Amino acid sequence: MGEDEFAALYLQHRSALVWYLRGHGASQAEAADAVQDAFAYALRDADQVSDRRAWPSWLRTVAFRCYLRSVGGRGSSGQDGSGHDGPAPVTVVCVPELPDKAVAAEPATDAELRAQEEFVLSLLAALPMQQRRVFTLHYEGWASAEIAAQLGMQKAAVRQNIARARSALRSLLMHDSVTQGDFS
Amino acid sequence: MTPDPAGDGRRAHGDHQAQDDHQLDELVRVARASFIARSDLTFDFEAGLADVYYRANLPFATVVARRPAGGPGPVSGAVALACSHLDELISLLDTVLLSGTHANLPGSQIQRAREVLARLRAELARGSASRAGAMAAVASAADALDQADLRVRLERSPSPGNQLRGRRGSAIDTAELMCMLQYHVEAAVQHVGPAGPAQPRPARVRRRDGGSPRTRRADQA
Repeated sequence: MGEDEFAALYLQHRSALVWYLRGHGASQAEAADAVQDAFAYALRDADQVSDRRAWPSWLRTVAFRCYLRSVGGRGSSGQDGSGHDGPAPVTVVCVPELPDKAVAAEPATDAELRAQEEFVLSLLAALPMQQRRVFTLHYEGWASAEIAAQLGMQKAAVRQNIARARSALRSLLMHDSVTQGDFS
Repeated sequence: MTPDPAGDGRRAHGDHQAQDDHQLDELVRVARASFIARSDLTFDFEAGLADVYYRANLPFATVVARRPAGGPGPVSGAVALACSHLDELISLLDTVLLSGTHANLPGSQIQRAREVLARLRAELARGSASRAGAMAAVASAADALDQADLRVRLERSPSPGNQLRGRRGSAIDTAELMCMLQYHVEAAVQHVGPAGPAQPRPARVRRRDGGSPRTRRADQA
């Protein structure tokens, strides 16, 4: 991978990766640090991934492991289900580009948007680990089959985790709307 | 006809749940989009890339990376998302058009869809797309792809949708892709301002010899 290509990869995925890790409960600094480490691994191991479509999946897996390691070494003890330490090996899932479904629906002030982001991140962080991983990838636009391949799960388990996460988030939202008024 | 209060209740519950799911989807997607858009606008990509090279213990690179420019907030993010999705679709259509294995593909319709989408992308990037024009372009492209799909199905050959599924390796068909595109384009033209939205531009890295003084850690805020 050339330098231009790597820089483009960094520009394209860096912010989405930070959001991905924030959704797992990482602070802004922890997420940013883990993402930097993941890109450093990517830079060193660029030759190991020949298909550029595999990078989004590769980067998410490695960034997640970097984050887990930074918060106590749990990444190497198999919390991510891999049992591996470090960035390799990584299950590679190929998609052309991430179909980013995110969209701004309503104009809002910056403060309102920030509050909304933190609210959503707190909701995601309240989910169990597996549901959180599946759900975060689901909202990035990955198909169930791609999530299953990336996380080493069955497709049915992916769908089940999405359904359970939705149910849990609905309950959390209902609780929040009761205690703080309707958020939306 | 016998009234079925229990059935009505179940349907009402299902409708309510679907509405809740939709609101949840919107909430998460809007939050994610605004986070990414603001991060793209405020993050120092040059310092970030320099830090990555430092961490990788690689020779010094003077990085000239240009972050996505444009107005603050989710506006440019929505346009960038729409353009990104258009790029993906155009690339997929190119693949279908270039594949020589399906000689009876109705290339004219696919070519027409491709041209419409490419024109729409250029207009979005320039900030010159009107809402009505953009939505008409999406509808026109969708119509062309539908015609292509129908014609190929009638001729019992692999449809463009099937080809795209094969290309992506996932269960996404043309209808779903066009539906997502409509969603993105609608959001993008909703916020287009007079100055025009900007695009994420390619980054350039200019290498030079020498050491690697660590400039500063990126995004420690």
